[in-house]
Amino acid sequence: MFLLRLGVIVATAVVIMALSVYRYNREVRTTAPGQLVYYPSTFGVRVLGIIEAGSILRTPTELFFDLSKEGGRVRVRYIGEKTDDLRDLKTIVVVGNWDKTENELIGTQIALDPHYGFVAAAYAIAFGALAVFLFTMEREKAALYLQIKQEQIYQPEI
Amino acid sequence: MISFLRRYQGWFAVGAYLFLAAGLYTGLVSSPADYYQGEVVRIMYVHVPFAYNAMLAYTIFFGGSVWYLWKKDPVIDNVCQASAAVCLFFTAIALVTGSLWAKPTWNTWWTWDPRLVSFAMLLLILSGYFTLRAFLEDDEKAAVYGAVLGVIGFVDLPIIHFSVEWWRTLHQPLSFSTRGVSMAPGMLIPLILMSVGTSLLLTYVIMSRTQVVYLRHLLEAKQGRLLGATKL
Repeated sequence: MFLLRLGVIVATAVVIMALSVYRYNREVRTTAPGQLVYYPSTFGVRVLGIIEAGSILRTPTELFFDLSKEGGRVRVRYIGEKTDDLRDLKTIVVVGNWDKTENELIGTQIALDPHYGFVAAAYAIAFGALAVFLFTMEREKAALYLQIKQEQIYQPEI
Repeated sequence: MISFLRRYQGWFAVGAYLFLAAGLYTGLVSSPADYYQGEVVRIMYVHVPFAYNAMLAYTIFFGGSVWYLWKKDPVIDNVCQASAAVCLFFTAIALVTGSLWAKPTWNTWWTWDPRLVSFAMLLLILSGYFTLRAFLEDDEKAAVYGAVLGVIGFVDLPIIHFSVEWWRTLHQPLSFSTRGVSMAPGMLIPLILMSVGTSLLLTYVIMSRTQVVYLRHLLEAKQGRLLGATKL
């Protein structure tokens, strides 16, 4: 019975973890500017980087800037909304498509740095510690009940 | 009382499992990211329930301490020890997850903020409780002194709760108050599911832990009596 309950809990945890990883890969995961050459033009990308100082160039319909991180750099042509949020040296995620022919990233949205490592760490620590706490407590409780049963502690002493 | 705990604990475990599974799914998969904090807001679904349930566990500990000082019922002392242990564990998790939330949002792991300091005080009070109990050999005396400490330490709870109202603080203000709920429904649902799930889990853990403490004392008492008989 204990193993069955443990199995159900572990299976649920694995399903939720798999769904979270799937969502992370689809909606959150970012790539560095230096890695963009590996993406085909039709595939959407999320690029995390810092807007290089003095690189922002505004036109009536578009906005251009350089995004850099870890030695890589990419030219961004931004055609989305919220352009007021863009400023020099800000760390952002540009969501868009990599244009291989022009060698530039066509940005349609901007997002915040996800810092997902902190989220993953918080859940791993909280639920990892909780699992250890519950497991040891359940084992101890079962062992104590067994010991009491074996020692026949409730029988009147002679 | 112990047979009651043993009989009904399973319902709380099942409830906790269902609510936490739904809460984790909505919190990690289906809820939206925050406009200002982005993905980091998901830490709220684990930090807030553990912090609020740590306070709930301390309230049970306080209630049990008052009851013990009044009735001197040893089983209530077992409940006090169980709720204090769970409160210590939940407080530690709330502090660690809070620190992990603070780094990307405040750019620091820790700051001497009234809410953080008063919450860390709770950890110190509970550590003091277990240290006190460990150093006193007389069980009855340890239970009485521990209960007194539990009652005195309760002063910290309103300080924790109202610290964000009374002082200028980095910590966000109360999301649930008489002024209403200041949260989007998409984020409120996972927070409620996780909070209810954690409360059910807290109840289950206190019920189980009370049995562990009770059984330990029962065995110690039996072994002590046997040892005494052998010596004679």
